[in-house]
Amino acid sequence: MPGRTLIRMLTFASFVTPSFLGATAWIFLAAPHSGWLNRAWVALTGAPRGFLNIYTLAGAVCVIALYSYPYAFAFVSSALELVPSEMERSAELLGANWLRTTWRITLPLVRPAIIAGALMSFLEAIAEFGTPAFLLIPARQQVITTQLYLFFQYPSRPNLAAAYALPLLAVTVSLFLLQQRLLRRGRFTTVTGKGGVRVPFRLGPWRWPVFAICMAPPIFSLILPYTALLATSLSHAWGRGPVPGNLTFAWYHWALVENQGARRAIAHSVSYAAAAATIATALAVCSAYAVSRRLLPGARILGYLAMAPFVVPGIVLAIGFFAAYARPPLVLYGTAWMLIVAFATRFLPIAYAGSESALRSLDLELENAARTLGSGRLRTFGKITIPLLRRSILANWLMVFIPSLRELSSAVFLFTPATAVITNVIFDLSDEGNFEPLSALGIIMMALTFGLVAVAYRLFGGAVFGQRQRA
Amino acid sequence: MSAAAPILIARRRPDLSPGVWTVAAAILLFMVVVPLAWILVASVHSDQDNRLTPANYVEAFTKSIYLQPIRNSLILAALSAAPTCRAAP
Repeated sequence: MPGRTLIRMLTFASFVTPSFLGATAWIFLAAPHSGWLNRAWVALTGAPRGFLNIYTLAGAVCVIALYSYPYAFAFVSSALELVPSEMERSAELLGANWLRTTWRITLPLVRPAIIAGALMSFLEAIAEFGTPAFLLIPARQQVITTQLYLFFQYPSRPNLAAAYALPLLAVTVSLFLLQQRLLRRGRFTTVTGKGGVRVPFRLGPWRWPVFAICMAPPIFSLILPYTALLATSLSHAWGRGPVPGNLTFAWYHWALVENQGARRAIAHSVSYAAAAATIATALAVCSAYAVSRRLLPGARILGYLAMAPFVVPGIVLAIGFFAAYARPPLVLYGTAWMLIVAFATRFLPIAYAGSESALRSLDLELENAARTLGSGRLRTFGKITIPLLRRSILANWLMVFIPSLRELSSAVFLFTPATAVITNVIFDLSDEGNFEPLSALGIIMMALTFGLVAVAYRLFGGAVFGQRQRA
Repeated sequence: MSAAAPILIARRRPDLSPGVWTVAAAILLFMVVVPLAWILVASVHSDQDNRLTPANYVEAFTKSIYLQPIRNSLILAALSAAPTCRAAP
C-alpha cells in the first residue's frame, strides 16, 4: 500500500493531539448553526440548516473515537508485525485471494489484539474528561467525569465526589485486568524458530481504495481540525470565516506578549511539566533498579505501585490528591507542588515501564565488576548503571514531559489562580466561548509538543514511540 | 602477599543504598497509595459535618440526576470503542 510511513506518522500525530483540542476544532466545524461544515452543506444543497450538531452524545462519541483509535492501532499493528508472511502465503498458494486470506488467516490471528485494543479504547473513553467537558457540559448532558467536576463547583461536595468516583475506578481496574488476561491467554503461537521472511502483501488494484480508507481517520482527526484551529486563531471572529479583513495575528500577540495570565500559564506549563518529568524519571529509575535487583523486601510490590496510576483515571487521581493534600497535616493545595506531583504520579508508569525494560537489557556483569573492585551499591549505581541508562532516561523524561504539558483532567481540579497552566486557561476560555484566543494558545501548545517530538525522534529514532501505548 | 594489596586498599564504605531505595518507596506511597486511600476515607464521611456515614453512596447511586451520567458514560465508552476494531494497514 502506498504511504505506509505517512499513515504511521499521522496516527502518531493524532495520538499526541489532546482530544479537548480536537473537540474545540470540531465545534468550529460542526456547531449546529455556525459550524463551517454545516454552512458548506447549506450553501451546497440549499437546505434550511446543516445536519451536524457536535453538542450531543453522538458528537462526543465521534470525537473520542477519532482520538482513541491510535491505541487500537498500536495494539493491532504490533500484533500484525508478528504474523508470519508464510501463513498468508500458504493461503494464497491454495488459491485464496487477498480478501479471503485477510479474513480467514490474518484477522483471526490478531483477534486478541483487536479485542484488547477495543478494551483500551473503552477505558480511555470512560475516563475521558476534556471532550465531554467541552461538548456535553454546554448541552447539559453529563457523564461521570463531568458530573465529578460539577461536584467541585459551588456548593462543593468533595466527599460525595469521592463516593461517586470509586465505582469508576473499580470499572477501569477490572477492565484492565480482563485485558491483560486476554493478551496473555488468547495468543496463537506465531513466532517460530523457522525464519520469518516478511513479504509485503500485494494489493494490486485495491491499493488506492485501501489507502483512502486508511487516510479517513487522519483527515477527520488531524487535517480538518488543525485547519480549523489555525484559521480561527488567525481570525478576528471565527464565525465570519476566512474572508479578507478577518485576518489577524492579534491572538498570538495576546498570548505571547500582551496578556500576563496567558504568558504565566505558558511558563507554568513548561516548568511544571519539566519538574514532573524529572521527579517521575528519577523515581522510576530508582524503583525499577530496586525491583530488578531485589534490593528491598517486597520489591515487586514497589513495581506494582509504580504501574498503578496507569489504570487510575486522571480525575480520580486528582480527587485523591485533593482529599489527601488540601488539608492538614500536609497542605500542597495552592502550591505548584500539587500540580507537579499529580502530573509526576499520573505519568510515572510511562517512565517506569521504560526504565524497567532498559534495566532488563543490562547485564549484571558490569555492575558486578565494579562491586568486586570494592565499589558500594550506590556508587556502582551512580557510576555504572546510570551512565549506561542515559539514553533511556532522556527518552523517559521526554515521554513524561509531553503528556504533562497538555494534561487537563487533573489540572482542572488542582489548580488555583496562582498556579494555572495552559490547559486551565484553555478550559476557561472555552467556558466563556472565547474560541479565537483559545485556538492561538492551543496552536502554541501543540507547536511546543511537536517540536519536542521532533527532537525526541532525532535523538532516538522511531523506537521510542513504539514502547509507548498510552498517555 | 603483594597480589592481595589492592583489595586491602579498597576500603569498604558504609552502604547507604538501602536508605535511597526506602526513600523512593516512601515517595511512591505518598504519591499513589495515600491519595487513593483518602478517596476511600472521604467517601464515607459527610460533606456537611464530617460524620462517618454511608449517605454519600446512597445519594450517588439512587438519585436519577446522578444515575443518568453513569448511563451516558457507558454508552459513550461502548460506542467509542466499537469503531476502533479496525485492522491496521
